[in-house]
Amino acid sequence: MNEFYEFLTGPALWAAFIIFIVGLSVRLTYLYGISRERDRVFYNHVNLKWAFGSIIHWLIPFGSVSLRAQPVFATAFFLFHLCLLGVPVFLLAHNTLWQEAFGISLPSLPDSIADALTVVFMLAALVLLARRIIRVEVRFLSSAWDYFLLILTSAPFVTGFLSYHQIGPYKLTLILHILLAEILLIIIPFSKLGHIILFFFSRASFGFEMGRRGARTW
Amino acid sequence: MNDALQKPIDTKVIKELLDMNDGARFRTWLSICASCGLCADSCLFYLAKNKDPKLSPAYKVRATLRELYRRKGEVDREFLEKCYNIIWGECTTCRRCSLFCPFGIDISVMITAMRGICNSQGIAPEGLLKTLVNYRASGNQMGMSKEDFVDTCSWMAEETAEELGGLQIPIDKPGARIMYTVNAREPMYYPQDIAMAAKIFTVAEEDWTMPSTGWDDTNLAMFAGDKALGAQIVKNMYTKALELGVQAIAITECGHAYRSALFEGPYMLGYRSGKPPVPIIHSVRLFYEYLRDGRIKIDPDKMLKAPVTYQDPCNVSRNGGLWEEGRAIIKHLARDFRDMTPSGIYNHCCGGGGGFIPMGPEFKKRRMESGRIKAEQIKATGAKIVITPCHNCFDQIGDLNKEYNLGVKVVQFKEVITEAMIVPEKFKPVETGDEEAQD
Repeated sequence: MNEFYEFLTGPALWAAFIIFIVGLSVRLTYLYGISRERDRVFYNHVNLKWAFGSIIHWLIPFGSVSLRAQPVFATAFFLFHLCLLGVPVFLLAHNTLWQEAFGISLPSLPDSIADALTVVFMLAALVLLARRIIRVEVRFLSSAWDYFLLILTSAPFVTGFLSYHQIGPYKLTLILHILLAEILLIIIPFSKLGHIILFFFSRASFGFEMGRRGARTW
Repeated sequence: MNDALQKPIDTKVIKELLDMNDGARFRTWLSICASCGLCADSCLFYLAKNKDPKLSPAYKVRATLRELYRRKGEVDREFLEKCYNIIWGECTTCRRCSLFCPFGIDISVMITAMRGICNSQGIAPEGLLKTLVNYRASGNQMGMSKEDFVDTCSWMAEETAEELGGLQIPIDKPGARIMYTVNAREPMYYPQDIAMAAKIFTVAEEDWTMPSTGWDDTNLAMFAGDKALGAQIVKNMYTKALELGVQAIAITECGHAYRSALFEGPYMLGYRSGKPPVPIIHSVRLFYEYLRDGRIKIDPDKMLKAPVTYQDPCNVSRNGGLWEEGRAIIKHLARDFRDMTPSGIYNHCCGGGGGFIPMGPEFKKRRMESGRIKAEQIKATGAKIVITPCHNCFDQIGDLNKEYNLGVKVVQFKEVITEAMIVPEKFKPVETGDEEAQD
């Protein structure tokens, strides 16, 4: 098990990060390539103000009409994304690893706050899952893959929480935590989760399209 | 749909069209949809049909275009017939869903692409196909000859000059400031619309002309999925405007005409810049400017007293950016304005857009069903008059009026403005001189 742990925190971690970054870059480069001729509408009406307006209204909580109409979902949706990005990056334990590997680290959240945010995240994920099952129009659109991705995204938090609190076999939960996070990183560039980058392009595109019409861009 | 239905499907053509559209936008949209379902509540078809999940915008694209890409264009007629019902019968390309989508996915663009693919196989609503024959033969959807059109304008000029001294309807006047284009229904069935526009231009002392060709600004080929013909229709208009050397093309109170002339036309024509060669101005903007600048003044005693509401045409407000201008005009015209809920950019399509009105009787029942949302919106305002600067909204609300006993009068801006505007002394016809002497 120790060997597997070494592998996961060594070569596998490198591989996961490289696939994550290279995968996203390749996807973006490919899209750029096929867009030059076929998506003139994107390049013809570039205006940073329109793109910014289009993006920012979907980054701030309740910034858009459809989220305001579903406040419970909107709150969960916002907290889910906030914690998903914030907790792993600013977690003290992760920063210690950065420090050991590269001698640099980011400011860290106190463990108690990170722990609380992890609980918030898990609750938010549960709301999203429940909504996917309960709301007819969402259930109808959801495939097994949609459920899988939601569970996979949440899994590193659940296992991280378990291992931090040493609930269950510590070694196993820690290994699962790392393994699932790496699988997630690898899947992101090749799935709908690519929206971590493509969100910005997609919204910018809508911003240009509506902006040129003198219309609202979000 | 028609006899073409018997022909086998040409998957080679479908593949070409799929490839043409296979850019970064389609790829991104089709791959990142998170299945969040937020788009569902935006759609009038979904809302009107008891929230049937099959009517959520995301599903409509999945069942059609995404499936077509998945099967790499290898589909049979049965599949395309299923698509036919969705892309024409369950979507008016109103783009409301895009405002509800976290990624701003443009469903309407994908539905339009899908219409192009069906059209390439001869699959399109009969009502739309019939107009395409007319466009090809005469350049307008009603198949009106150039002579008939010019005659209609002269007739309207003569009649109206009796009410308004000095009124003219100039045809092909070189170098005019604006070239006014109309919906072919106007010269054909509602020539008074042209007369009313002429009155407004006369009082505003506008330097205007009507073109003898390229005057039909509608574009049903755009809705039928015939891009080449759609491009030709827009080109007729651009060419005439360039030939006359006008400063701008004005569009009548019609929503999709604006969409065609300003936003889609340049792309249908393959212009790399994506911009029309001549500025395009919609009537709503034009009338707004006249009122703002005092070129048209409204007689306060003639303002509408009955409660008024405004139907935002999708292609004028949400997709044309003119929702504030429309309301600014109404401020001049109505004492009791009651906005719909929702309104402005979030207003629901009337149910007659996207080619639905000319799609004919085959689609009437669905049009009335999905129009229930609009009927309820209007009813809730308690308005007696519905103003709408769009021919399709006008027809649809007229039909809804009967179907749902709304008891409203549907009007365009032109009608209200000409009724209420102050006509300066110099335009008073000579015959009324005696009456005035009695004042």
